Amino acid sequence: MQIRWLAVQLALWCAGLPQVVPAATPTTLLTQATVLGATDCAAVGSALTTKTVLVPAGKYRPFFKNSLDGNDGKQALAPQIEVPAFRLDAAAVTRGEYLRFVCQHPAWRRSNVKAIFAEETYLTGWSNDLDLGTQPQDQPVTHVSWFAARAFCAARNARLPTLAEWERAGGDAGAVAAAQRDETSAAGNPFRFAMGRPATDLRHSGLTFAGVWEWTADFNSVAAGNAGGSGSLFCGDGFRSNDARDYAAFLRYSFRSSLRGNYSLKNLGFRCAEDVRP
Amino acid sequence: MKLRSMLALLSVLTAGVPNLGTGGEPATPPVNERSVYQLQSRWTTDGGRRIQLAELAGHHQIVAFIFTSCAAACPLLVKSLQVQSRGMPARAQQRTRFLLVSMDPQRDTVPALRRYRQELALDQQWTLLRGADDDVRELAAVLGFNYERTPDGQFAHSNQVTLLDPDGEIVLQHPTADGAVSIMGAAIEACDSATDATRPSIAGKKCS
Repeated sequence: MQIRWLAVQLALWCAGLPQVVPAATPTTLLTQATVLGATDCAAVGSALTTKTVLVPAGKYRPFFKNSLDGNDGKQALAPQIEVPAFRLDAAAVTRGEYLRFVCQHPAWRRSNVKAIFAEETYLTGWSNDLDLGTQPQDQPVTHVSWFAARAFCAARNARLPTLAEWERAGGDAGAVAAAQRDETSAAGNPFRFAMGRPATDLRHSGLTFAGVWEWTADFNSVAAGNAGGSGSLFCGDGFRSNDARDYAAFLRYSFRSSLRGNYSLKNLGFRCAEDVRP
Repeated sequence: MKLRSMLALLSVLTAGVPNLGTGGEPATPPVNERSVYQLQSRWTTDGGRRIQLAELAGHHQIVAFIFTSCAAACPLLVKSLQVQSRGMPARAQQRTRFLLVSMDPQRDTVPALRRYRQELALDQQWTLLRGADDDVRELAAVLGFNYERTPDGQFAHSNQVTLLDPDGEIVLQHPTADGAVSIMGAAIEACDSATDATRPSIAGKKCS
């Protein structure tokens, strides 16, 4: 039972032909498979230190107003939420980093992952379980599910940022004011705003966004979901948003509301967050 | 022909697998890769028993999320499920259990869940579970259930009800409690009453 024999069998099977009975010993397969796997993962190298940014305690105002407030039936602005300090990866997780992860965690390789945790498009573009193909390894990994992103961060003793944390760091509440000053830039390139821009106090922190949407720990919260009154936002009552001019936030919240945990989309990546020990 | 040769090849390949294993590890039973019961999270029942979701296998489970301090919709949801369950065909009723998972583990302690069971007179067909925040979030993601804590300490949430088959695979989901159990009971009954030849499928999957 040698690798070559298996390859022949696979070729025969693909061609719809019957197999040839093997005449070799199983130990050959064991040795070769072990060496093969080890070589591939060794070539990937050891984990680099991930650059993270300290995000000081700050505030974030949810995109949605409170539900009906008081007797006049009008809605109040949602109160600001205090977001305690935390650390956030300076950049989205790259393909190279993700490759190291699947090397060390075989359950998350493309051929092993369970359907409930990642749909078929998981790691589309990779040549095989441990080969990025022609894709640059220093770009954000995409085609990863929420479950996979979560497992990646957990393996690093980190976690996905909450929606409030992500919005506080990358939602850039100042973008609305900026957009008012320069209507054309916001209108012409809403996605650049929507996919993340550092908050004013993080402009020089090294925090970067690279044009992919990003998973959050609680992407399946109601404000971003299909329940209660919030779902009606997507049926046209944009008046419920705190600031209807914040088109970037509207795009972000709409996008999140469309997700299921096993979705593995072309333009959806992630980064990890860590608690700050007091 | 192709299928048979593929199976033959698979059997050859799997025959080699024990040699490749880490050695000495017990073989894990095959799992349905769409089963919710693949989740490894640990939960506590209102009886204080620690369980994994896989222990719920063997029955159809009708699953909903609750928080017991909820004043408005949640007791109605549970009441509605309860009333509908009495109308289920007897055989389907025997094969079905109800699972209520708290989205508020901080306040829904074991005693709180136990009180809830008494207040709503939930019999042994019902399992009440609490778990870690992160595990609730994960189960919710698997089931496509959305919820969030609101600043006033309540929860905004969907009212989705899910039917898991005895393997833990999602076979039906209903956006509200209204009508959910009736539809699910009918589907289970249709499965049970069919012979092998005429067995219908729920959501594209043959009844198990």
